[in-house]
Amino acid sequence: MKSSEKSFDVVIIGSGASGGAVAYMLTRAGFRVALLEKGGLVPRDAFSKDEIAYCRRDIVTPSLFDEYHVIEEKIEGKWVSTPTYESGWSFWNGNIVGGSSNFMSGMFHRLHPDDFRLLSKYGPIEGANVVDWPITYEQLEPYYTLAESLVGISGHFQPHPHEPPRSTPDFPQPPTQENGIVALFDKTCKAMGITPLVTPRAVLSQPKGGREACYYSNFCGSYGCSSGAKGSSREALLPQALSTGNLTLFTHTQATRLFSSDKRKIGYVETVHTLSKKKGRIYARYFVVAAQAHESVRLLFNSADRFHPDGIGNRYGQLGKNLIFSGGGSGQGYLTKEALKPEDFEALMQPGLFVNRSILDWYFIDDWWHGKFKGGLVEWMFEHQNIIRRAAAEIRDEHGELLWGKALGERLYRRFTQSKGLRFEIFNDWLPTDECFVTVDTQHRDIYGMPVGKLRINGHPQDLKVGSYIAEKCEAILHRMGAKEIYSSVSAAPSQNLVAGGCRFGKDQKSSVLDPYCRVHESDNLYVVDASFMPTGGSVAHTWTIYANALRVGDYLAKRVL
Amino acid sequence: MKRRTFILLSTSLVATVKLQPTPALKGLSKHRALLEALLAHLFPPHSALPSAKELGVIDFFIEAVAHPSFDRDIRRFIIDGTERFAHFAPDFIKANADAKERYLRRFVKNDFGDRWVARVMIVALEGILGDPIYGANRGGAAWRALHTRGGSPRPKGKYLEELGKIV
Ligand SMILES: Cc1cc2nc3c(=O)[nH]c(=O)nc-3n(C[C@H](O)[C@H](O)[C@H](O)COP(=O)(O)OP(=O)(O)OC[C@H]3O[C@@H](n4cnc5c(N)ncnc54)[C@H](O)[C@@H]3O)c2cc1C
Ligand code: SF4
Repeated sequence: MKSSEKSFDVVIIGSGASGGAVAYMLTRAGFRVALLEKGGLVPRDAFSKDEIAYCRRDIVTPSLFDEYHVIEEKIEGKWVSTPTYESGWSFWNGNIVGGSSNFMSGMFHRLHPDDFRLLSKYGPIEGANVVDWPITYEQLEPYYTLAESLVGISGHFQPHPHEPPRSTPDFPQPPTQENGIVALFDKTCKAMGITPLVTPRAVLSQPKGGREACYYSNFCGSYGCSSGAKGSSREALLPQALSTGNLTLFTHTQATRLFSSDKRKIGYVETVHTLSKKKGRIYARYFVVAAQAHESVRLLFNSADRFHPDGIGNRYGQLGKNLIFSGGGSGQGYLTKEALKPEDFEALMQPGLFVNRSILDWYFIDDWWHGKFKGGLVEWMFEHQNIIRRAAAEIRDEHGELLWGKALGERLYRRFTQSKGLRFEIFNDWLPTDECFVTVDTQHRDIYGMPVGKLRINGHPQDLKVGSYIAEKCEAILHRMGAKEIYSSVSAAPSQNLVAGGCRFGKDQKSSVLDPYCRVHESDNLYVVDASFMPTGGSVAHTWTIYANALRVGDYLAKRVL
Repeated sequence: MKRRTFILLSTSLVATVKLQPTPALKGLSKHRALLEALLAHLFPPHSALPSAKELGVIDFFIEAVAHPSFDRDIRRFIIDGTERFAHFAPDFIKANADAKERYLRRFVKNDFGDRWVARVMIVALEGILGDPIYGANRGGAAWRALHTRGGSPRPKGKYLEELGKIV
């Protein structure tokens, strides 16, 4: 080994939610860990609310002309591949220390115990590769609880038939503050026989350690947090891991390939410094990949060698298969000055405070007409408050004609001062199918010369059926509240910020890539800990489960392996 | 979806590119007076929003489109469109408000013209409603006009340039 080459107990690739959780567990247990992150470290106070920089340019994600994906979609019966530099449809979600967890809205839910046994509970669905998980909810529960206290999840537990059981009576922090209009939402739901629940948030309502409480900045999702209240890996886990003195953080360091020292062992990871373009090697006893599902799969494909000619973990052709996203859709209606009582309207227009409501009533559906099926969760929030984006959405009239001059001025004034959009997002299973997977495209390479990830994207018709069923119910709530311009859209387009699958975990190495502790079946020292392990995605956003599972794997590595 | 279709459909700007400031600046600066007149017509005085002229949106517009973080294809599209519009409306700068309106309404009749004007408006709105640090939303005047405000903390520099290259 040359003096510039380094050696550690464990190398973790990716510093986001999953990588941060493993780094936390291992460094606290005394192991020497190298954490590789392709992006840089943004200081907390540089997380401003600059809409241009954070939301309208690719400054915290790579330029799509340098690094991109190829997306395959079925158009008029044929698979059509489009590189994302052509479409502008980015599959990067935040490539700085802390990963996409810096930019999340932090609406957190646990999976339900039945999500771990979807096949046994609901039976097979034609065209979908539904399976049971190799672990149970009860096995993950202690780590959901650990994540709750480490990340700092605020909320209020209300018993509900579809709420998963908990081992502690309530959340470690009370809920974040709510906008006054939520009273009207609650009243409307109750009048309709629907139960509104407080959304658990990975957002501190009270200070914790070196992190301040949320100050209701009005611009949460898509922005980094300058108070430390948001439970990103960067704020909730990495400072503690660094404080042990056992963590070496390599920023601007991209893992390009894993190199095997023999048939069952990885010896080192090859890296490139993204600024100087210098190559390097980092040696370790164990390797943990946490680069976000589709990028982790890509790294395993790009690491093909004589021991693993089709990519590491691909002995039985399972690598990259069963890629999933979060199914569902969204909708919105405008609450207006005209339709609301003056005091309600005044409350509505207060900036900052959250809606923080979820509906779990349709997580499992038993409908007299449609029958019994797995449904989903609905999250309620205000439309994103981005000013430029909201104004840009108004430059056309109802007929699609461009508006400018005074007419535009008046329309913007009305939109901004007389109404506010109330929005719902539906989360239901994106069923795994044979037609949704990741490979690499050797015709397309990034600026470092590595083949880019190629994602074939296809939704199952059941996903749309569930989404549409729930959207109708949500539109009815908006109608009852007196909202105007109500619409919803349920489509087969994926939520690129909620990606999972591709390295399923399971007991049988012929039908999965990872074992139940997320070790690559065919390797003794390689683990994958981001959402790629998930065989099915549940009907909630994935991140609480990502945190919990990565803490579980980290705990196992620290106690039983290293 | 092809990039052209994307430019057509999207109201958001994505992807960034390597710096090509000189040709971009040249392409735009050559038509500065035309673009300034166009912006003044699209965002006139006595409207609910402060006017493009009083906010100096033209300076933001040229800087933003020439900036390395601006999408390469959209930059090309804006420059091409400006050339076409200059051909289409050679006396636009001197024309009175009614004639300007007629020119523009005719120009947006075809797909290209419509997309180009939309894109120009969106870049202008970035300046008008973006953080005052970018120069156009002077003192937050446009936010005040819409009874809104940007978030805090405010940026210390444009495009996070003070941090150097992040990704
Ligand atoms: C706008 C937005 C809103 C969201 N809201 C929610 C929400 O409300 N609720 C919820 O549950 N989830 C939400 N999410 C999703 C959540 O952020 C992700 O599920 C979670 O961060 C994924 O964790 P991860 O570890 O898999 O990936 P990430 O957190 O993205 O971390 C992966 C890291 O790996 C790095 N990396 C990639 N490749 C390499 C390489 N080759 N070498 C070195 N480093 C590499 C990346 O740069 C990145 O930093 C949201 C996401 C976004 C973008
Ligand atoms: S202060 Fe609160 S609202 Fe603002 S980004 Fe942080 S967590 Fe989100």
